[in-house]
Amino acid sequence: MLVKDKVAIVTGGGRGLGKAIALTLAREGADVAVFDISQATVTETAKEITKLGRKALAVRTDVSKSADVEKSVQKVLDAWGRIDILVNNAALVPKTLNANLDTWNPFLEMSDEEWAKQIGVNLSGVFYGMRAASRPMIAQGSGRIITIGSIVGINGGLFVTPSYSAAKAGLIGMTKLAARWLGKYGISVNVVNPGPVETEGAVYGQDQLDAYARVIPLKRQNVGTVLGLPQDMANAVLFLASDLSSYITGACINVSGGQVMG
Amino acid sequence: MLVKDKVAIVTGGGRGLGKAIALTLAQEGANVAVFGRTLATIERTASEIKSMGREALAIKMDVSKSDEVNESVRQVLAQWGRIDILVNNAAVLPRNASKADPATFNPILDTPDDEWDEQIATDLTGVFYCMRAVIRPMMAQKSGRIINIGSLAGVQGGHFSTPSYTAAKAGVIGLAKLGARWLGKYGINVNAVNPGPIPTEGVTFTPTQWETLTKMIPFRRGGLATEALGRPQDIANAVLYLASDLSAYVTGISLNVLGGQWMG
Repeated sequence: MLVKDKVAIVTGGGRGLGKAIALTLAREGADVAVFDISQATVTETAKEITKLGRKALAVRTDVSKSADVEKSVQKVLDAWGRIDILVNNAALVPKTLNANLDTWNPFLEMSDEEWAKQIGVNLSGVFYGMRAASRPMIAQGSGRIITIGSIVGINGGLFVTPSYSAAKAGLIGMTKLAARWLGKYGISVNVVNPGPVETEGAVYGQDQLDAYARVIPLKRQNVGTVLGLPQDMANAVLFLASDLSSYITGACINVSGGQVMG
Repeated sequence: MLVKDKVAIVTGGGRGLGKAIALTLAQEGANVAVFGRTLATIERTASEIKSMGREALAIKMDVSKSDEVNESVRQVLAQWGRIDILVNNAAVLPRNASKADPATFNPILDTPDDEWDEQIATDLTGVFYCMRAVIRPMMAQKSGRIINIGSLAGVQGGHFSTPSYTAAKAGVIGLAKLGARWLGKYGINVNAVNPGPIPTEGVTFTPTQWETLTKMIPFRRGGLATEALGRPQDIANAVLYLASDLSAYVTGISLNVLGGQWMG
């Protein structure tokens, strides 16, 4: 067990990637607090964690609200007294995966409200989480912060909105700043950058799938898609949460089948 | 066990980083062929692997000799019939750099032709020879993991590095990406792991160098300033990750294991 008896928080842990991460950490021995905006989904993930024989907390949280994040982190401290691992996974994913590439223009079609909403969750939410969790981690003299970025934070992406690209690039930068400042307390801060992932929420158009097949070099024999799976991302998070990565900080791990190398 | 029953080759496995890598893979279930130039040290690594209950081969060879690489890989295939993991670790380290005074050291002027030739031959050409030799069986298996040990020097130039070491390490990172691009369709993942300066049996630092390095490293294990530098086990653990199923969708990356010395 790679994270035995650690206390972890996974934001956006109600479904998709976040749920896979929460269950993977629990399977490897962690007690997990699941944060999500949807009460029903956090309760469900928490129930599955309990079934794995680990402790779970279901905490309804809107990560874009600073006070909400502070309150939720306090609940975890009240329950378990420490925080070893924070996984910033919560994100609004733009519903543009089947856009018509001939006519779509991500800049012209982006409204102010949509911009503010995505920056609020995908970037400010990560900052609020880092700030709230790093306080107890500094006191402990240890901690792991892992943020889910995206390869679009590196290469800009193609089927995404400006706010999504900017937020993902921004959290990569923020991770490096945090790694620099929190290193002296023994806290490591890293990013996992998924490529396109097959999840419940994502529906890809044929244009997109064809384009991905051309740009993703890795073709796995035993997996029926060229895309990544939630478990691939969860495994990278597990590595960064475990002692196997104890000297890695400020790093981005691209989990994209070679679409982005770096 | 993260690499149970896999067959691995570790070049330069007689000491230092390579030995830590070979033992870590064995501990996690792999059978390991230890390649190296010094028979005594690779035999010692092999016997430690056997005492863990795994199989081991000690093969004396020089990675800079194409025919020796091919012959050694043939021996591994003859023994186990497959190759799942290749770790390109063998490297000639910068000759005088670890004694250099940072104030006066000029790596470009101070590198003679023979050091350039030796490092390019072993640290870069040797990696190419090994990659070429193992990909045939890996393509036939439709699976495989190749992990090149790069270096901070390959991404940022290095603190006490030589032109040949830096060029070779940047080169093996490039080879990993080219390999990832061309071999992906056969289910072969190719990645690089970049260590920073690590004190090992082969590498020591002067107090001035130690101080310079410590100032550049933001991470402190357990908050201790004396614990700023990396350890062989840190690198072995990163290699283990890239050799295991945990990284099945990871290819073409260059993983910095640097305590934050470089975040590019």
